Amino acid sequence: MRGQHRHGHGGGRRLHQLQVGQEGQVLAVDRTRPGRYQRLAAYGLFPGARVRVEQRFPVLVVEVGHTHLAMEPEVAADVTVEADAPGAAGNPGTRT
Amino acid sequence: MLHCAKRGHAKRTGGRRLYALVGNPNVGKSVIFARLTGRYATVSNYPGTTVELTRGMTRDGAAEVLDTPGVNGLLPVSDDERVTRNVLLEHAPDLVVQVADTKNLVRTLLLTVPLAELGLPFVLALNMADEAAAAGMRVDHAKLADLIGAPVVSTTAVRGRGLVDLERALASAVPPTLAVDYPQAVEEAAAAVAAHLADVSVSPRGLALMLLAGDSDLVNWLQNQSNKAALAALDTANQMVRRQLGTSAAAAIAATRRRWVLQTAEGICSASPRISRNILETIGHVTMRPLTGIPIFIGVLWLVYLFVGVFGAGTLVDYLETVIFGQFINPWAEGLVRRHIPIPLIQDLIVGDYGILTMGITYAIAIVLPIVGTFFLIFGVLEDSGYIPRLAVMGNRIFRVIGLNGKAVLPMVLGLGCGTMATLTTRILETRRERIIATLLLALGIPCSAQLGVIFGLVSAASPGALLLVYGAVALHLLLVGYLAGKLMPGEGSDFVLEIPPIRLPQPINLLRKTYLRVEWFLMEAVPLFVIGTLIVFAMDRTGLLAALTRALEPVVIGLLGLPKEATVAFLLGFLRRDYGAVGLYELAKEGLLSPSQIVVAATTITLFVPCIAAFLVMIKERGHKVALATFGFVIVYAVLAGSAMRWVLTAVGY
Repeated sequence: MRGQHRHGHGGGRRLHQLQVGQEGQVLAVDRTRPGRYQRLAAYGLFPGARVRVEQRFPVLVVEVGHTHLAMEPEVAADVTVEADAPGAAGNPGTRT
Repeated sequence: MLHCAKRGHAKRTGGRRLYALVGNPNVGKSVIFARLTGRYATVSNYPGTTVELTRGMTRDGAAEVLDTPGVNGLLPVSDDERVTRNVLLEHAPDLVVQVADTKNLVRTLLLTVPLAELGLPFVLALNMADEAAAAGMRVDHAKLADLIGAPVVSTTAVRGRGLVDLERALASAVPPTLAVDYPQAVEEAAAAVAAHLADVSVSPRGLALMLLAGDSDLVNWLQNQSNKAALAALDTANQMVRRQLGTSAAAAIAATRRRWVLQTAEGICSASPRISRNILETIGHVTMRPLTGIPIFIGVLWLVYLFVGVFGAGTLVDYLETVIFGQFINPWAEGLVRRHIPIPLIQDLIVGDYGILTMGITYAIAIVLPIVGTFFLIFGVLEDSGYIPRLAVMGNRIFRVIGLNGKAVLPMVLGLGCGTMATLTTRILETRRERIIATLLLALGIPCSAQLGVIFGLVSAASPGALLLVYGAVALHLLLVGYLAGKLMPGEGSDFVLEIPPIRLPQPINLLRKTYLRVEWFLMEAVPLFVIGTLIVFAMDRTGLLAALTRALEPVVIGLLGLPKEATVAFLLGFLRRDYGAVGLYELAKEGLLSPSQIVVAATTITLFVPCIAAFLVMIKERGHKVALATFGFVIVYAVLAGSAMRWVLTAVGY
């Protein structure tokens, strides 16, 4: 629903390491804590989803689809993201 | 829990059909419920407003409708989610209506798949269509209906749009044909488990998939049923899938569903890009960034203080108490009673010092009602705007110190309205430890609106600084007790993951209806207690018990707290309701019986005192009598000790 997927930039980073305003695609979510994994998945935060960081302090706030999700950095550290190349034009549906 | 998930279980009255409204949190289930039944269920703009089942009849009387707490999946992570999952399996509804936020198609469909697999007749209501359209989204409803094999209706329930279509769809719903293409191994595993689940009210395949998806709660249910065959089949099936696919059945099911969901969402929805952020979104952002959010929070507190403390507790109370009751109702009633009822005992019972009218009703209507009314109104504005979850973002770190996380802001702020409602809302917290800590702090030091307003009045009479002193001390005690409870209580905290709803303009009608219902609820709940309390005090006064008890408690009230003995009555009333006790102190202060430092000590003690009988009953219901009694006892002792500590400090600094 969110347009084309981008590959080949940057490799995997943890979600909490992204800058405010940065977007990316979820590559993997750590499965060692099933409860955490299931919850994030239910909010639509799973491999393949597009995510954008809106705020980093005092907790991380990200946008997934039209859901705004607040979470602590420890939780976000379980999510590996491929960040879009800096300066790349936004996807369809992306907000500036 | 699920022992009655059997076919033919007597589940409803008079052979009516049963509809269950199910969906993600904060998508408008309660609004749809209200529209279908004509009954109002509390509606707010934050997830977790509905923590219990609400029942109602459709307007034509043909079906009963169940409004359920919001869920993010059918694998429950908290008590309120468990309520919903059990409804589907225990009540065996004739029809499942999934209510969804059109904007969040992916999350919606993630829930649609396991719901549809239950095999019950199904309707999908894509709600909040107006917001989706405003966000530039266009959804192909017909195509989606084709894909899941069930009616899909577009609704904007708050404006009453699409409800006729929905009612029509409800009447003709059938089980959906949706079939997600699981790997062969998963299908075989599901069939093997389903073969042992013959006697259930939902599709055995759907239930088997839930078990394979890793629902540990359901595994317990099988164990309780001693369905050993199914447990064994589940075990074998899990191993078989792992052998064939190299991954767990749970992972394979989740991955397949996700693929289907992403593909479907992409296929039915087109979005035009949106360039600018609107004003509400900007407000949404600045209210949860510390730099702008903290000044805004202080501003909000100030507005609440002006509306509740100055207008409600000042202007309105003065008018009602001194003019309406003081000059008209009470003198008139007193004259009437003294003229027509010759028995002095009855006269005093109604209009004496501890009379039902002059004390009980006057307190409830003239003092507490205007305060509670103004608080509920402004609290409704905060709820419906979506502001409260943003406080959770800013307050998370503080809540971490006391063994909770930002999510606890919802019950805590609600506790400022009414501790009884708030104790129910602790269900949204995920671990037992968090629920107990939150319950304890609510009982100890979160004053409800009624009490807050009276204490505002009581303490501001002393000096504005005194207000800071009292609430500063209460906040410190909350932090201290919370910190210790967090350290001492066994168990772990939970992740802070919270959905932040969009900022919305409150709907005046919803606001008024909600305030009206809460005030009505308060009157039903509180006024009888005020009258009973007055009766008890009156009887104790007449029998000499009051004097005896006052003497017995003198060492505490006079010795430890340094208050005049008249304050004892206030604390006795405090056992019924904290605010009732606070009103007693308020009256003492007005008669000039309390010095400023005594006011501070009394206000601190009564704020930390046990909440009220209703809150205590809910505590027993939610946490069990052991935890409730322990909390109760601890709070009384702690309140008195904290009060005497305050007295000691004040004396030491020469306040």
